[in-house]
Amino acid sequence: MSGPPGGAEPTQEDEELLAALRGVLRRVEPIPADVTAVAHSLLAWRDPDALLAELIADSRELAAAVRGDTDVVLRFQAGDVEIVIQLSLVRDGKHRLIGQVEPAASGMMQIRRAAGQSEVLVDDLGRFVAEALAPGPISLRWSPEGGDQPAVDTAWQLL
Amino acid sequence: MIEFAGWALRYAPAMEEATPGLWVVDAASGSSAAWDRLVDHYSGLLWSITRSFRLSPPDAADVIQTTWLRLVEHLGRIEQPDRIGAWLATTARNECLTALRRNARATPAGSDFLEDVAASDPPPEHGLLTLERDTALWTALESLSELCRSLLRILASEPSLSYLEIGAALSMPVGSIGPSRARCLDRLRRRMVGAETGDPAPRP
Repeated sequence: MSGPPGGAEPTQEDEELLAALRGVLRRVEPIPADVTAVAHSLLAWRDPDALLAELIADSRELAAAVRGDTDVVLRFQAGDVEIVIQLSLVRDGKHRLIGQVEPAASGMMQIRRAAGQSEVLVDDLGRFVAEALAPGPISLRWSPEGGDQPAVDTAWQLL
Repeated sequence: MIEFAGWALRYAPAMEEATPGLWVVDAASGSSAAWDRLVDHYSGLLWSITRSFRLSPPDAADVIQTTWLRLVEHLGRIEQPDRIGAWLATTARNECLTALRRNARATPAGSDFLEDVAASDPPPEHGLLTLERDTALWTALESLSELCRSLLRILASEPSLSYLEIGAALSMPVGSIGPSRARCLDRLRRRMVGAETGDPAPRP
């Protein structure tokens, strides 16, 4: 390994102290095995054919989103399609999701969680609702009725 | 055959040279061997970042899972595959901040969540710290500034990281990592000496 930029060459003493620290952390704070095991399985979510709707607006970024304000509004976009969701903390850390697809169309919204997936109907005004969502990563897959358009996946977010 | 030879060279156990950029490209075309290499190589980095934010184990698991899922959805879109470590570090750091904000929202107004977290972070079980030196080292680490605690945790993660990756993990200019590293290690050493000769930390 080459020396670090900034002119501070690591000393032998520093290297030994860091090695000792590495040993302590390995014993005291090891990576939980299930965290790594889950990570290995996640490539199964890859779908090169789906369109990715990136997050374009996030109420969590606003300074006004102070504590006590429990609702989060996220807006995703892929081409002409936008998906807006509002997440409200209900109880026990669970969320209610109310969403809207623009332009409005009926179809199916898949609620994708690391543990599995469920589906909710999207009405002809583009609205949908999902209840009792536990904390953790979440992504939505939008499939408009008719089936001749590619699915749109919203970028994964931490709920 | 040439294709197979290339694959074998990349994933033969004897070839320990880390080539994360190639793993990204191969994972994007569906190679689970390449994905496994990425996970094995960067899990330590992601874990150390969540530890540096003092996230609870369930929150840390959420952040790490979200970070990997972000990579899965972006696999074919990563502009600089050879900088994937920095990309993962930046993503994990942002998700840690999201997790902290999420917890703050779920906490009744008026209580200071961040202070609560810092104060309630439990010391490791006494039995885990087998050597007295371990105890002194861990206690000294926890007594340092937030920057030093984070930097040293990330420097100590395995396998060791490039300064580019460390800079992304800490949102810190690469040029200041070397000097900060020396300064934080020096402070750690002084705290340990202080703990040995002076009044040690109270026993649990």
